[in-house]
Amino acid sequence: MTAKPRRGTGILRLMGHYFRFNLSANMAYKGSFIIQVFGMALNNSAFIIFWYFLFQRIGGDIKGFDFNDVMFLWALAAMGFGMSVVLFGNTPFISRVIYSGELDVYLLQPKPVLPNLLASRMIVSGWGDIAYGLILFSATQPMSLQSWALFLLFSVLMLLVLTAVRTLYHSLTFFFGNAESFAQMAGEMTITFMLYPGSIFKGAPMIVLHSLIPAALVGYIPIRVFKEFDPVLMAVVVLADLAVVAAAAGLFKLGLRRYESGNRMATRL
Amino acid sequence: MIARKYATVFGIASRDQLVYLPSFLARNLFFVVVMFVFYSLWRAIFAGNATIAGFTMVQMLWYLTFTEAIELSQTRIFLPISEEVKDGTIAYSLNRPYSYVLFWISRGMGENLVKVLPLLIEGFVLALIMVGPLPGYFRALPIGFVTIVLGILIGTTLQAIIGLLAFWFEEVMPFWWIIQKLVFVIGGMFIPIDLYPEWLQRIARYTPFAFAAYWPATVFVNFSPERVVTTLIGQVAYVALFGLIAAVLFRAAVRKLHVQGG
Repeated sequence: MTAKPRRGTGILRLMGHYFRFNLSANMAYKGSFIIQVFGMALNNSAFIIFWYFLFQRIGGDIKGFDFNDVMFLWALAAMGFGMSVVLFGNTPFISRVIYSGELDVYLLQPKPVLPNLLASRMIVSGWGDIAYGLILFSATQPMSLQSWALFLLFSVLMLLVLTAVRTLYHSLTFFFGNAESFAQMAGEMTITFMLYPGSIFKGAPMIVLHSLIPAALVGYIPIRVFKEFDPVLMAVVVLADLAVVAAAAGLFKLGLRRYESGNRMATRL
Repeated sequence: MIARKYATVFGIASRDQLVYLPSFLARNLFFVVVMFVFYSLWRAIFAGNATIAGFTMVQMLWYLTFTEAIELSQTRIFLPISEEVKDGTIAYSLNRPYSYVLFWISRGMGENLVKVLPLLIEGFVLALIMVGPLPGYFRALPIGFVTIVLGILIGTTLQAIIGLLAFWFEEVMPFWWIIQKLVFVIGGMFIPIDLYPEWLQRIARYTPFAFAAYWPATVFVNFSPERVVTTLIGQVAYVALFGLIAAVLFRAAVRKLHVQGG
Protein backbone atom coordinates (compact mmCIF):
# COMPACT_ATOMS: atom_id res chain seq x y z
CA MET A 1 0.00 0.00 0.00
CA THR A 2 1.47 3.36 -0.99
CA ALA A 3 1.09 6.43 1.17
CA LYS A 4 -1.37 9.01 -0.17
CA PRO A 5 0.51 12.22 -1.10
CA ARG A 6 -0.16 15.10 1.25
CA ARG A 7 -2.65 17.72 0.01
CA GLY A 8 -0.17 20.61 0.30
CA THR A 9 2.49 18.76 -1.70
CA GLY A 10 -0.12 17.91 -4.32
CA ILE A 11 -1.06 21.58 -4.75
CA LEU A 12 2.59 22.59 -5.09
CA ARG A 13 3.14 19.89 -7.71
CA LEU A 14 0.07 21.05 -9.62
CA MET A 15 1.34 24.65 -9.53
CA GLY A 16 4.74 23.43 -10.73
CA HIS A 17 3.15 21.69 -13.72
CA TYR A 18 1.07 24.75 -14.60
CA PHE A 19 4.13 27.00 -14.25
CA ARG A 20 6.20 24.92 -16.67
CA PHE A 21 3.34 24.52 -19.12
CA ASN A 22 2.32 28.20 -19.12
CA LEU A 23 5.91 29.36 -19.41
CA SER A 24 6.67 27.14 -22.39
CA ALA A 25 3.36 28.15 -24.03
CA ASN A 26 4.24 31.84 -23.66
CA MET A 27 7.83 31.34 -24.77
CA ALA A 28 6.50 30.04 -28.08
CA TYR A 29 5.98 33.70 -29.00
CA LYS A 30 9.46 34.92 -28.09
CA GLY A 31 9.16 38.38 -29.67
CA SER A 32 5.94 39.13 -27.84
CA PHE A 33 7.38 37.72 -24.58
CA ILE A 34 10.46 39.94 -24.72
CA ILE A 35 8.51 43.09 -25.75
CA GLN A 36 6.05 42.58 -22.88
CA VAL A 37 8.72 41.95 -20.24
CA PHE A 38 10.85 44.95 -21.27
CA GLY A 39 7.79 47.12 -21.86
CA MET A 40 6.51 46.49 -18.35
CA ALA A 41 9.91 47.11 -16.73
CA LEU A 42 10.21 50.40 -18.68
CA ASN A 43 6.61 51.24 -17.82
CA ASN A 44 7.32 50.97 -14.10
CA SER A 45 10.54 52.96 -14.36
CA ALA A 46 8.54 56.10 -15.17
CA PHE A 47 7.51 56.31 -11.54
CA ILE A 48 11.11 56.38 -10.32
CA ILE A 49 11.53 59.61 -12.27
CA PHE A 50 8.41 61.10 -10.68
CA TRP A 51 9.52 60.28 -7.13
CA TYR A 52 13.14 61.20 -7.74
CA PHE A 53 12.34 64.73 -8.93
CA LEU A 54 9.64 65.19 -6.30
CA PHE A 55 12.07 64.39 -3.49
CA GLN A 56 14.75 66.50 -5.15
CA ARG A 57 12.39 69.47 -5.34
CA ILE A 58 11.13 69.29 -1.76
CA GLY A 59 14.45 68.14 -0.23
CA GLY A 60 14.45 65.81 2.77
CA ASP A 61 11.60 63.42 3.38
CA ILE A 62 7.82 63.15 3.38
CA LYS A 63 6.66 62.37 6.92
CA GLY A 64 9.57 60.04 7.66
CA PHE A 65 9.76 58.43 4.19
CA ASP A 66 12.74 59.23 1.98
CA PHE A 67 13.30 58.33 -1.68
CA ASN A 68 14.80 54.91 -0.86
CA ASP A 69 11.86 54.01 1.39
CA VAL A 70 9.39 54.74 -1.40
CA MET A 71 11.55 52.70 -3.77
CA PHE A 72 11.39 49.78 -1.31
CA LEU A 73 7.59 49.95 -1.50
CA TRP A 74 7.77 50.02 -5.30
CA ALA A 75 10.17 47.08 -5.45
CA LEU A 76 8.00 45.09 -3.06
CA ALA A 77 4.77 45.91 -4.91
CA ALA A 78 6.32 45.01 -8.27
CA MET A 79 7.70 41.69 -6.98
CA GLY A 80 4.47 40.71 -5.20
CA PHE A 81 2.25 41.76 -8.10
CA GLY A 82 4.55 40.15 -10.69
CA MET A 83 4.71 36.85 -8.82
CA SER A 84 0.94 36.94 -8.30
CA VAL A 85 0.14 37.25 -12.02
CA VAL A 86 2.86 34.81 -13.07
CA LEU A 87 1.83 32.06 -10.62
CA PHE A 88 -1.89 32.85 -10.27
CA GLY A 89 -2.61 34.68 -13.53
CA ASN A 90 -6.22 33.57 -13.65
CA THR A 91 -7.16 35.53 -10.52
CA PRO A 92 -8.46 38.62 -12.40
CA PHE A 93 -10.79 36.34 -14.37
CA ILE A 94 -12.49 34.50 -11.47
CA SER A 95 -15.79 36.40 -11.80
CA ARG A 96 -15.93 35.71 -15.52
CA VAL A 97 -15.26 31.99 -14.94
CA ILE A 98 -18.07 31.88 -12.37
CA TYR A 99 -20.77 33.75 -14.28
CA SER A 100 -19.98 32.15 -17.64
CA GLY A 101 -20.40 28.67 -16.10
CA GLU A 102 -16.82 27.79 -16.99
CA LEU A 103 -16.20 26.73 -13.40
CA ASP A 104 -17.83 23.38 -14.25
CA VAL A 105 -14.66 22.42 -16.07
CA TYR A 106 -12.55 22.94 -12.93
CA LEU A 107 -15.05 21.15 -10.71
CA LEU A 108 -14.78 18.02 -12.80
CA GLN A 109 -11.01 17.78 -12.47
CA PRO A 110 -9.57 15.71 -9.59
CA LYS A 111 -7.68 18.66 -8.11
CA PRO A 112 -8.52 21.26 -5.45
CA VAL A 113 -10.70 23.82 -7.27
CA LEU A 114 -9.22 27.14 -6.11
CA PRO A 115 -5.48 26.48 -6.71
CA ASN A 116 -6.36 24.76 -9.99
CA LEU A 117 -8.44 27.75 -11.11
CA LEU A 118 -5.91 30.42 -10.05
CA ALA A 119 -2.77 28.78 -11.44
CA SER A 120 -4.19 27.82 -14.83
CA ARG A 121 -3.03 31.03 -16.51
CA MET A 122 0.17 33.07 -16.57
CA ILE A 123 0.28 36.79 -17.42
CA VAL A 124 3.59 37.25 -19.20
CA SER A 125 4.15 40.92 -18.36
CA GLY A 126 4.46 39.84 -14.69
CA TRP A 127 8.03 38.76 -15.49
CA GLY A 128 8.78 42.41 -16.28
CA ASP A 129 7.43 43.41 -12.87
CA ILE A 130 9.55 40.75 -11.15
CA ALA A 131 12.69 41.88 -13.00
CA TYR A 132 11.93 45.50 -12.16
CA GLY A 133 11.37 44.68 -8.47
CA LEU A 134 14.66 42.80 -8.20
CA ILE A 135 16.68 45.48 -10.00
CA LEU A 136 15.10 48.32 -8.05
CA PHE A 137 15.70 46.57 -4.75
CA SER A 138 19.35 45.86 -5.64
CA ALA A 139 19.89 49.47 -6.71
CA THR A 140 18.29 51.26 -3.77
CA GLN A 141 18.49 49.02 -0.67
CA PRO A 142 21.31 47.77 1.55
CA MET A 143 22.85 44.52 0.34
CA SER A 144 22.86 41.99 3.14
CA LEU A 145 21.56 38.49 3.64
CA GLN A 146 18.97 39.72 6.12
CA SER A 147 17.63 42.47 3.86
CA TRP A 148 17.30 40.07 0.92
CA ALA A 149 15.66 37.41 3.09
CA LEU A 150 13.13 39.92 4.44
CA PHE A 151 12.46 41.36 0.98
CA LEU A 152 11.80 37.92 -0.50
CA LEU A 153 9.62 36.90 2.45
CA PHE A 154 7.55 40.09 2.21
CA SER A 155 7.27 39.60 -1.57
CA VAL A 156 5.79 36.13 -1.03
CA LEU A 157 3.39 37.54 1.58
CA MET A 158 2.40 40.31 -0.84
CA LEU A 159 1.80 37.68 -3.55
CA LEU A 160 -0.46 35.72 -1.19
CA VAL A 161 -2.39 38.73 0.15
CA LEU A 162 -2.93 40.34 -3.25
CA THR A 163 -4.17 37.05 -4.70
CA ALA A 164 -6.36 36.58 -1.62
CA VAL A 165 -7.86 40.09 -1.80
CA ARG A 166 -8.77 39.62 -5.44
CA THR A 167 -10.16 36.14 -4.78
CA LEU A 168 -12.19 37.42 -1.82
CA TYR A 169 -13.89 40.19 -3.80
CA HIS A 170 -14.34 38.06 -6.92
CA SER A 171 -16.04 35.40 -4.72
CA LEU A 172 -18.84 37.91 -4.13
CA THR A 173 -19.93 37.01 -7.67
CA PHE A 174 -21.29 33.73 -6.20
CA PHE A 175 -23.62 35.75 -3.97
CA PHE A 176 -24.45 39.06 -5.67
CA GLY A 177 -23.84 38.61 -9.41
CA ASN A 178 -20.90 39.99 -11.39
CA ALA A 179 -18.42 41.59 -8.95
CA GLU A 180 -15.64 41.92 -11.56
CA SER A 181 -15.24 45.73 -11.57
CA PHE A 182 -15.44 45.76 -7.80
CA ALA A 183 -12.75 43.08 -7.38
CA GLN A 184 -10.50 44.79 -9.91
CA MET A 185 -10.83 48.02 -7.94
CA ALA A 186 -9.99 46.33 -4.63
CA GLY A 187 -6.78 44.89 -6.10
CA GLU A 188 -5.82 48.20 -7.74
CA MET A 189 -6.51 50.16 -4.56
CA THR A 190 -4.39 47.82 -2.44
CA ILE A 191 -1.46 48.44 -4.79
CA THR A 192 -2.15 52.17 -5.24
CA PHE A 193 -2.21 52.84 -1.50
CA MET A 194 0.84 50.74 -0.70
CA LEU A 195 2.97 52.76 -3.14
CA TYR A 196 2.71 55.96 -1.09
CA PRO A 197 4.27 56.74 2.30
CA GLY A 198 1.82 55.22 4.80
CA SER A 199 2.40 58.08 7.24
CA ILE A 200 0.48 60.55 5.03
CA PHE A 201 -2.80 58.81 5.84
CA LYS A 202 -4.48 59.17 9.20
CA GLY A 203 -7.81 58.54 10.93
CA ALA A 204 -10.56 56.36 9.48
CA PRO A 205 -8.77 55.68 6.16
CA MET A 206 -6.00 53.99 8.14
CA ILE A 207 -8.52 51.47 9.51
CA VAL A 208 -9.65 50.67 5.96
CA LEU A 209 -5.99 50.27 4.92
CA HIS A 210 -5.53 47.66 7.65
CA SER A 211 -8.65 45.68 6.71
CA LEU A 212 -10.79 46.07 3.57
CA ILE A 213 -7.87 47.32 1.44
CA PRO A 214 -4.92 45.81 3.33
CA ALA A 215 -2.18 48.10 1.99
CA ALA A 216 -0.77 48.46 5.49
CA LEU A 217 -0.32 44.69 5.83
CA VAL A 218 1.65 44.40 2.60
CA GLY A 219 3.44 47.75 2.55
CA TYR A 220 3.55 50.03 5.58
CA ILE A 221 4.20 47.35 8.25
CA PRO A 222 6.76 45.42 6.16
CA ILE A 223 8.81 48.59 5.61
CA ARG A 224 8.82 49.27 9.36
CA VAL A 225 10.09 45.74 10.03
CA PHE A 226 12.58 46.07 7.18
CA LYS A 227 14.05 49.30 8.56
CA GLU A 228 14.10 48.12 12.15
CA PHE A 229 13.55 44.43 12.73
CA ASP A 230 10.87 43.70 15.30
CA PRO A 231 10.04 39.98 15.78
CA VAL A 232 6.66 40.69 17.42
CA LEU A 233 5.50 42.99 14.62
CA MET A 234 6.81 40.46 12.12
CA ALA A 235 4.76 37.66 13.72
CA VAL A 236 1.66 39.88 13.84
CA VAL A 237 1.91 40.81 10.16
CA VAL A 238 2.45 37.18 9.08
CA LEU A 239 -0.60 36.08 11.08
CA ALA A 240 -2.70 38.96 9.72
CA ASP A 241 -1.66 38.09 6.16
CA LEU A 242 -2.56 34.44 6.69
CA ALA A 243 -5.94 35.50 8.09
CA VAL A 244 -6.66 37.39 4.82
CA VAL A 245 -5.70 34.26 2.84
CA ALA A 246 -7.93 32.06 5.05
CA ALA A 247 -10.84 34.50 4.66
CA ALA A 248 -10.52 34.41 0.86
CA ALA A 249 -10.30 30.61 0.72
CA GLY A 250 -13.26 30.36 3.13
CA LEU A 251 -15.50 32.72 1.16
CA PHE A 252 -14.66 30.99 -2.12
CA LYS A 253 -15.54 27.61 -0.58
CA LEU A 254 -18.80 29.01 0.78
CA GLY A 255 -19.61 30.47 -2.61
CA LEU A 256 -18.85 27.19 -4.31
CA ARG A 257 -21.73 25.59 -2.37
CA ARG A 258 -24.12 28.12 -3.92
CA TYR A 259 -22.74 27.65 -7.42
CA GLU A 260 -25.14 26.19 -9.92
CA SER A 261 -23.82 24.52 -13.02
CA GLY A 262 -24.02 26.50 -16.24
CA ASN A 263 -24.42 23.18 -18.11
CA ARG A 264 -21.55 24.34 -20.21
CA MET A 265 -19.83 21.87 -22.45
CA ALA A 266 -16.15 22.72 -22.59
CA THR A 267 -12.77 21.08 -22.54
CA ARG A 268 -9.51 22.44 -21.17
CA LEU A 269 -6.61 21.22 -23.23
CA MET B 1 -22.19 65.73 -45.19
CA ILE B 2 -18.86 63.98 -44.56
CA ALA B 3 -18.66 65.38 -41.03
CA ARG B 4 -22.21 64.15 -40.33
CA LYS B 5 -21.38 60.46 -40.49
CA TYR B 6 -18.53 60.90 -37.99
CA ALA B 7 -20.83 62.96 -35.76
CA THR B 8 -23.30 60.04 -35.88
CA VAL B 9 -20.56 57.58 -34.85
CA PHE B 10 -19.61 60.01 -32.08
CA GLY B 11 -23.23 60.16 -30.89
CA ILE B 12 -23.75 56.39 -30.92
CA ALA B 13 -20.53 55.83 -28.95
CA SER B 14 -21.64 58.42 -26.38
CA ARG B 15 -25.00 56.70 -25.88
CA ASP B 16 -23.29 53.28 -25.60
CA GLN B 17 -21.20 54.54 -22.70
CA LEU B 18 -24.25 55.49 -20.65
CA VAL B 19 -25.30 51.82 -20.57
CA TYR B 20 -22.24 50.50 -18.71
CA LEU B 21 -23.04 51.54 -15.15
CA PRO B 22 -20.61 49.25 -13.21
CA SER B 23 -17.56 50.46 -15.13
CA PHE B 24 -18.85 54.04 -14.80
CA LEU B 25 -19.06 53.67 -11.01
CA ALA B 26 -15.68 51.90 -10.76
CA ARG B 27 -13.95 54.66 -12.79
CA ASN B 28 -15.51 57.42 -10.70
CA LEU B 29 -14.76 55.67 -7.42
CA PHE B 30 -11.15 55.23 -8.51
CA PHE B 31 -10.99 58.96 -9.29
CA VAL B 32 -12.17 59.77 -5.76
CA VAL B 33 -9.56 57.41 -4.28
CA VAL B 34 -6.74 58.84 -6.40
CA MET B 35 -7.70 62.39 -5.44
CA PHE B 36 -7.76 61.40 -1.79
CA VAL B 37 -4.25 59.92 -2.11
CA PHE B 38 -2.98 63.08 -3.86
CA TYR B 39 -4.64 65.27 -1.25
CA SER B 40 -2.96 63.31 1.58
CA LEU B 41 0.41 63.40 -0.18
CA TRP B 42 0.39 67.09 -1.03
CA ARG B 43 -1.01 68.06 2.37
CA ALA B 44 2.11 66.45 3.89
CA ILE B 45 4.42 68.11 1.34
CA PHE B 46 2.85 71.58 1.62
CA ALA B 47 2.98 71.53 5.46
CA GLY B 48 4.97 74.70 6.21
CA ASN B 49 5.24 75.78 2.53
CA ALA B 50 2.90 78.36 1.00
CA THR B 51 4.04 77.63 -2.56
CA ILE B 52 6.12 75.02 -4.34
CA ALA B 53 7.50 75.95 -7.77
CA GLY B 54 4.92 78.75 -7.91
CA PHE B 55 1.97 76.46 -7.13
CA THR B 56 -0.19 76.81 -4.03
CA MET B 57 -1.84 73.75 -2.47
CA VAL B 58 -5.16 74.92 -3.97
CA GLN B 59 -3.68 75.18 -7.47
CA MET B 60 -1.88 71.84 -7.11
CA LEU B 61 -4.97 69.85 -6.18
CA TRP B 62 -7.15 71.49 -8.82
CA TYR B 63 -4.40 70.89 -11.40
CA LEU B 64 -4.45 67.17 -10.54
CA THR B 65 -8.25 66.94 -10.89
CA PHE B 66 -7.90 68.11 -14.51
CA THR B 67 -4.97 65.88 -15.46
CA GLU B 68 -6.55 62.83 -13.82
CA ALA B 69 -9.91 63.51 -15.49
CA ILE B 70 -8.12 63.60 -18.86
CA GLU B 71 -6.28 60.34 -18.13
CA LEU B 72 -9.26 58.40 -16.75
CA SER B 73 -11.54 59.39 -19.61
CA GLN B 74 -9.33 57.87 -22.31
CA THR B 75 -11.03 54.94 -24.03
CA ARG B 76 -8.45 52.45 -25.21
CA ILE B 77 -9.32 52.43 -28.90
CA PHE B 78 -5.97 50.84 -29.76
CA LEU B 79 -7.31 47.54 -28.36
CA PRO B 80 -10.22 47.00 -30.79
CA ILE B 81 -8.10 48.36 -33.67
CA SER B 82 -5.23 45.95 -32.97
CA GLU B 83 -7.73 43.09 -32.51
CA GLU B 84 -9.32 43.85 -35.89
CA VAL B 85 -5.88 43.88 -37.47
CA LYS B 86 -4.88 40.59 -35.87
CA ASP B 87 -8.08 38.65 -36.59
CA GLY B 88 -8.50 40.15 -40.05
CA THR B 89 -11.92 41.73 -39.52
CA ILE B 90 -10.38 45.05 -40.58
CA ALA B 91 -10.87 43.76 -44.15
CA TYR B 92 -14.64 44.27 -43.78
CA SER B 93 -14.11 47.95 -43.00
CA LEU B 94 -12.08 48.71 -46.10
CA ASN B 95 -15.00 48.93 -48.52
CA ARG B 96 -17.21 50.93 -46.18
CA PRO B 97 -17.80 54.58 -47.07
CA TYR B 98 -15.76 56.10 -44.27
CA SER B 99 -12.19 56.59 -43.22
CA TYR B 100 -11.19 53.78 -40.86
CA VAL B 101 -8.96 56.05 -38.75
CA LEU B 102 -11.55 58.84 -38.48
CA PHE B 103 -14.23 56.28 -37.58
CA TRP B 104 -12.24 55.06 -34.57
CA ILE B 105 -11.19 58.54 -33.47
CA SER B 106 -14.84 59.73 -33.61
CA ARG B 107 -15.98 56.66 -31.74
CA GLY B 108 -13.27 57.06 -29.10
CA MET B 109 -14.03 60.75 -28.62
CA GLY B 110 -17.76 60.02 -28.26
CA GLU B 111 -16.98 57.70 -25.37
CA ASN B 112 -14.31 59.97 -23.89
CA LEU B 113 -16.55 63.01 -23.66
CA VAL B 114 -19.25 61.07 -21.83
CA LYS B 115 -16.58 59.92 -19.39
CA VAL B 116 -14.84 63.25 -18.85
CA LEU B 117 -17.91 65.36 -17.99
CA PRO B 118 -18.84 63.52 -14.76
CA LEU B 119 -15.14 63.37 -13.82
CA LEU B 120 -14.79 67.16 -14.18
CA ILE B 121 -17.91 67.76 -12.09
CA GLU B 122 -16.68 65.27 -9.49
CA GLY B 123 -13.23 66.89 -9.51
CA PHE B 124 -14.89 70.27 -8.95
CA VAL B 125 -16.79 69.00 -5.90
CA LEU B 126 -13.83 67.07 -4.46
CA ALA B 127 -11.34 69.92 -4.83
CA LEU B 128 -13.87 72.36 -3.40
CA ILE B 129 -14.30 70.17 -0.31
CA MET B 130 -10.59 69.38 0.09
CA VAL B 131 -8.93 72.75 -0.55
CA GLY B 132 -11.64 75.29 -1.39
CA PRO B 133 -12.42 77.22 -4.60
CA LEU B 134 -9.96 77.87 -7.41
CA PRO B 135 -9.73 81.60 -8.16
CA GLY B 136 -10.68 82.32 -11.79
CA TYR B 137 -12.19 78.85 -12.43
CA PHE B 138 -15.35 80.07 -14.15
CA ARG B 139 -13.51 82.59 -16.30
CA ALA B 140 -11.23 79.81 -17.57
CA LEU B 141 -13.99 77.18 -17.90
CA PRO B 142 -15.23 77.69 -21.51
CA ILE B 143 -11.83 77.77 -23.22
CA GLY B 144 -10.33 75.45 -20.59
CA PHE B 145 -12.89 72.80 -21.52
CA VAL B 146 -11.94 73.12 -25.19
CA THR B 147 -8.26 72.56 -24.29
CA ILE B 148 -9.20 69.51 -22.23
CA VAL B 149 -11.10 68.05 -25.19
CA LEU B 150 -8.13 68.75 -27.47
CA GLY B 151 -5.79 67.17 -24.90
CA ILE B 152 -7.91 64.02 -24.94
CA LEU B 153 -7.94 64.15 -28.76
CA ILE B 154 -4.11 64.09 -28.82
CA GLY B 155 -4.20 60.92 -26.69
CA THR B 156 -6.90 59.34 -28.87
CA THR B 157 -5.01 60.06 -32.10
CA LEU B 158 -1.87 58.55 -30.58
CA GLN B 159 -3.91 55.49 -29.68
CA ALA B 160 -5.09 55.11 -33.27
CA ILE B 161 -1.41 55.03 -34.30
CA ILE B 162 -0.62 52.41 -31.62
CA GLY B 163 -3.55 50.25 -32.79
CA LEU B 164 -2.31 50.35 -36.40
CA LEU B 165 1.17 49.25 -35.29
CA ALA B 166 -0.42 45.78 -34.91
CA PHE B 167 0.22 45.41 -38.65
CA TRP B 168 3.94 45.26 -37.85
CA PHE B 169 4.12 44.05 -34.21
CA GLU B 170 2.51 41.03 -32.52
CA GLU B 171 1.88 42.90 -29.29
CA VAL B 172 1.08 46.63 -29.14
CA MET B 173 0.26 46.95 -25.42
CA PRO B 174 3.86 47.89 -24.48
CA PHE B 175 3.69 50.88 -26.87
CA TRP B 176 0.64 52.04 -24.95
CA TRP B 177 2.39 51.59 -21.61
CA ILE B 178 5.30 53.71 -22.79
CA ILE B 179 3.15 56.50 -24.28
CA GLN B 180 0.94 56.54 -21.18
CA LYS B 181 3.95 56.81 -18.87
CA LEU B 182 5.44 59.58 -21.00
CA VAL B 183 2.19 61.50 -20.44
CA PHE B 184 2.42 60.69 -16.71
CA VAL B 185 5.95 62.00 -16.32
CA ILE B 186 6.94 64.25 -19.23
CA GLY B 187 3.34 65.38 -19.73
CA GLY B 188 2.92 66.47 -16.12
CA MET B 189 0.09 64.12 -15.25
CA PHE B 190 1.32 63.49 -11.70
CA ILE B 191 3.14 66.74 -11.01
CA PRO B 192 3.31 69.99 -12.93
CA ILE B 193 6.49 70.05 -15.01
CA ASP B 194 7.44 73.33 -13.28
CA LEU B 195 8.65 71.12 -10.41
CA TYR B 196 11.29 69.48 -12.59
CA PRO B 197 14.84 70.79 -12.98
CA GLU B 198 15.27 73.48 -15.64
CA TRP B 199 16.81 71.15 -18.27
CA LEU B 200 13.95 68.64 -18.02
CA GLN B 201 11.33 71.40 -18.11
CA ARG B 202 12.82 72.66 -21.36
CA ILE B 203 12.53 69.16 -22.90
CA ALA B 204 9.09 68.38 -21.49
CA ARG B 205 7.27 71.68 -22.03
CA TYR B 206 6.68 71.45 -25.78
CA THR B 207 6.22 67.71 -26.19
CA PRO B 208 2.81 66.37 -27.29
CA PHE B 209 2.53 64.72 -23.87
CA ALA B 210 2.59 68.11 -22.14
CA PHE B 211 -0.08 69.42 -24.52
CA ALA B 212 -2.20 66.40 -23.57
CA ALA B 213 -2.11 67.11 -19.81
CA TYR B 214 0.05 69.96 -18.42
CA TRP B 215 -1.09 72.76 -20.73
CA PRO B 216 -4.87 72.25 -20.48
CA ALA B 217 -4.63 71.91 -16.67
CA THR B 218 -2.58 75.09 -16.35
CA VAL B 219 -5.08 76.99 -18.51
CA PHE B 220 -7.40 76.51 -15.53
CA VAL B 221 -5.01 77.03 -12.62
CA ASN B 222 -2.83 79.75 -14.18
CA PHE B 223 -5.12 81.39 -16.69
CA SER B 224 -3.73 83.97 -19.14
CA PRO B 225 -4.59 84.77 -22.78
CA GLU B 226 -0.98 83.98 -23.84
CA ARG B 227 -1.19 80.56 -22.19
CA VAL B 228 -4.49 79.83 -23.96
CA VAL B 229 -3.00 80.75 -27.35
CA THR B 230 0.14 78.62 -26.82
CA THR B 231 -1.99 75.69 -25.65
CA LEU B 232 -4.37 75.84 -28.60
CA ILE B 233 -1.61 76.21 -31.20
CA GLY B 234 0.36 73.30 -29.75
CA GLN B 235 -2.67 71.06 -29.47
CA VAL B 236 -3.99 71.72 -32.98
CA ALA B 237 -0.50 71.21 -34.44
CA TYR B 238 -0.01 67.85 -32.70
CA VAL B 239 -3.51 66.59 -33.54
CA ALA B 240 -2.85 67.43 -37.20
CA LEU B 241 0.58 65.78 -37.12
CA PHE B 242 -0.63 62.57 -35.47
CA GLY B 243 -3.71 62.47 -37.69
CA LEU B 244 -1.41 62.64 -40.72
CA ILE B 245 0.88 59.92 -39.34
CA ALA B 246 -2.14 57.67 -38.65
CA ALA B 247 -3.41 58.21 -42.22
CA VAL B 248 0.00 57.43 -43.74
CA LEU B 249 0.40 54.34 -41.55
CA PHE B 250 -3.06 53.12 -42.50
CA ARG B 251 -2.28 53.56 -46.20
CA ALA B 252 0.99 51.65 -45.82
CA ALA B 253 -0.77 48.95 -43.80
CA VAL B 254 -3.51 48.41 -46.38
CA ARG B 255 -0.83 47.72 -48.97
CA LYS B 256 0.44 44.94 -46.67
CA LEU B 257 -3.02 43.46 -46.25
CA HIS B 258 -3.92 40.27 -48.11
CA VAL B 259 -7.61 39.57 -48.29
CA GLN B 260 -8.43 35.92 -48.91
CA GLY B 261 -11.92 34.77 -49.75
CA GLY B 262 -14.94 36.50 -48.28
